[in-house]
Amino acid sequence: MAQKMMSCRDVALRLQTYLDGELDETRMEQIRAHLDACVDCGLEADVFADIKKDLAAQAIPADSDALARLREFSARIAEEANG
Amino acid sequence: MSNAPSTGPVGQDARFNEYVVPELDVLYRVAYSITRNKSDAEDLVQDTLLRAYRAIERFDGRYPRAWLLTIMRNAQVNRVRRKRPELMHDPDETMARMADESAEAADAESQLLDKEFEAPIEAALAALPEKFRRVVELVDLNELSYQEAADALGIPVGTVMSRLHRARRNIRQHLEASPLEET
Repeated sequence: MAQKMMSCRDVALRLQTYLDGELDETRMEQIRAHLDACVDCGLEADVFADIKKDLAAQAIPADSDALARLREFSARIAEEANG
Repeated sequence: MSNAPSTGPVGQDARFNEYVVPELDVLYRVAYSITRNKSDAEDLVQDTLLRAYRAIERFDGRYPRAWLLTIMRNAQVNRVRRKRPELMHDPDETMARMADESAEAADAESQLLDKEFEAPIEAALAALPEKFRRVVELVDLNELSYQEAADALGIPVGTVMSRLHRARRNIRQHLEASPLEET
């Protein structure tokens, strides 16, 4: 039997958590189904998905020099502890 | 008799390499989000690594990232305590004020240089109050889970969610209010 469709209000309440993948699979599927069927909620989801994507692009690139120093430091901790 | 080297220096090193070293990149990114300064971030990660090494034998092996982020938060709180003992009443506020202070010097110059090249999303992020911006940085920029962000900041998961969701609505409003750029 088909599950009852979630209301737009229920989807709005959970939309951010859905976009972060932090809901259980049943809820994720319910919201996915609603977004496929409801144009307004689908557009709302697209707006926040775009914001999330643009924010992810703002991440600072890994500082390879700092990481190399930290790897070295990690190795030294063990050496000094054992020496 | 078990042949698993779970204790002693060899087991300690193996566990450190297994659970801690793979998280160095995330630790550095989070430390940078917290301190807003490359040198302080590196110091904070080093402090975290020393504490993790000393505690690794007591670690149960589950959720190493969450465990390390909790250690990092405690390390940061101690660093602030050493510098500013009067700020210790509210850890959340302490972290925010600490970040504000170190960010001021680091950001002043870069803001001047970057202002005209700043993307609208960057401006919207910069306009957020510090405690909201930090949650966005941890979850959206550094891809931590809600629980990991909560561990890094020492706040409940529900607070992470409410700050994050409010911050994104705020960013949306900011973007909608931004004039379209002329090219």
